[in-house]
Amino acid sequence: MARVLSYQNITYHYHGASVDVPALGDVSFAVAPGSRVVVLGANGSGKSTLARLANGLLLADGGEVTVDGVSTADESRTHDIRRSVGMVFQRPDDQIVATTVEEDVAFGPENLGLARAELRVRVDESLAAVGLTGLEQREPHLLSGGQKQRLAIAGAVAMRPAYLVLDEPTSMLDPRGRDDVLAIIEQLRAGGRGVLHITHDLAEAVGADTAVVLDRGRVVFHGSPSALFAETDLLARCGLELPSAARLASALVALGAPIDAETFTVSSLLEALWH
Amino acid sequence: MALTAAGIGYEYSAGTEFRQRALADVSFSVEPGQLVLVIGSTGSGKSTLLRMLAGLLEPSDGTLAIDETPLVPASARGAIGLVFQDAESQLFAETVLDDVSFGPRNLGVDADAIPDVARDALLAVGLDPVCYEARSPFGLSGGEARRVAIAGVLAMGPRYLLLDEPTAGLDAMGRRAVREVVSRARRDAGVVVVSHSAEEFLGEADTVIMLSGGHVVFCGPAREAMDDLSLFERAGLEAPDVLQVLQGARDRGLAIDEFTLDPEAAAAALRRAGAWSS
Repeated sequence: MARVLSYQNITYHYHGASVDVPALGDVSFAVAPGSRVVVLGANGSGKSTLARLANGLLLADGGEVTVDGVSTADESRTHDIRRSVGMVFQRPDDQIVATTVEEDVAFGPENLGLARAELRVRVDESLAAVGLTGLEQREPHLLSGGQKQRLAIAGAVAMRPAYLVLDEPTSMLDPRGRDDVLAIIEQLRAGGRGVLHITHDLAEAVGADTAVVLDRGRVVFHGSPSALFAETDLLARCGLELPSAARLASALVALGAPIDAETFTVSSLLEALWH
Repeated sequence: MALTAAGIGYEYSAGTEFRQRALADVSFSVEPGQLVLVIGSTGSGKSTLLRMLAGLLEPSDGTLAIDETPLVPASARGAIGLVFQDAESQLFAETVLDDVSFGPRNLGVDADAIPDVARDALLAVGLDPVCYEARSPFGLSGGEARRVAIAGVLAMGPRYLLLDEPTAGLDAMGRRAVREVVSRARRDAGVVVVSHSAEEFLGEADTVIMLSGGHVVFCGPAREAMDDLSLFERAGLEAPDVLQVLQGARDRGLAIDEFTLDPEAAAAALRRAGAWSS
């Protein structure tokens, strides 16, 4: 059976909303283990609806979401799906349940009925994965925003999910917190997890395997991040802003600088201009 | 007319063995028409500074004054408006108009005048009252809800407007709309924006205060901050990308004549400096 988190022709309407404007219309894409798919769109584009469909928190009106071949609509498999697909949301404060860091991470696996020793292993490996080792006894509310979001990721990782769905995991964080979280996401991907990364920040698409852009519930782009960065009209139409380094790159190209238009970071720009 | 801080600092749990200094020795002033940008990473003391400016915390040392009259909580009320981080989470009323009316009603504004005051505030944040006043604040996009929350503060007619991370968590369109609101607000008020991002308000700030670990790393004209990126490093902040590229050019001996945040202007400055031979 194919190991993949797959959205096939997904349509979704919110109850009471106008039937003419579905939250999602005919959305298809897939997330393979060890890859990162970034889904971009402005507020109201349907991104968060998409996240909630991944593990059956919401069920599609049309089409099917499958996790390693199992439909999220198969109620007999809901528990398996929830274990396979870990979720991390925008606001870390909303995801913390316990009074110490280690209890918070243990909350999910405890509910699996694991032995104490196994629980300890899960907690330790998850905290190590997000760089919070040593803070086991800390009260979560004393953590910084970035640390809290890493704790939320550790809680999801402790379930050893095959896939992680992160819905705007960095948008409430300061630059350092954001960089930490992005580095952890990359490590988790390199460790073989499939990552569905939802964001409105185009800079976070750099390095992803696939970019999907949603506009009012429709897929308007599906391809590589570098191809997406060249679609300046489409990006503007979808309310997405190119990172300033990418804007500088295209301004330089327009003035005849001998650089590749696909230069999206400060270091690659400096490299291209003065290698 | 100015809101002036002279050597203010704050110590939590002052006078006990748990005392912890959050901020030391901040001095600056802001006049109506000016924008002061306070940047620093988490824990730098920027929110503590904002709470003192709003009259919510009394400085442990130094003085705060409006027009040379010492600031006390009673004088802060009405004169100073504070927009908290994540302000839309405090929207509560059934309609947008009712929510924006809450502040002026509490200030004792004449009941007949309140709807117009609230509508003016909605216009000031770029939301047409005709379309928005009867809507529920809970059915708005993130950017719209944030602007309604700002309107609720503007409706109290503050001469000084303080905003804590006003664009955090918003998408590009929402951020742009909030930046416009801030530009417009400074026509009538002195504005202090606290942010962890140097990029968004640096270009239009008059004064920049960089904080790190409760200390002032830099306090001066925004131009000077943009010209010396080592300041960002000392404050534990990331300098804006465009400035980093310009600095990279300068480090390589190129004569960059304009340090700007605007990518097009920066590209032109690089060409003038001969960054490549055409």
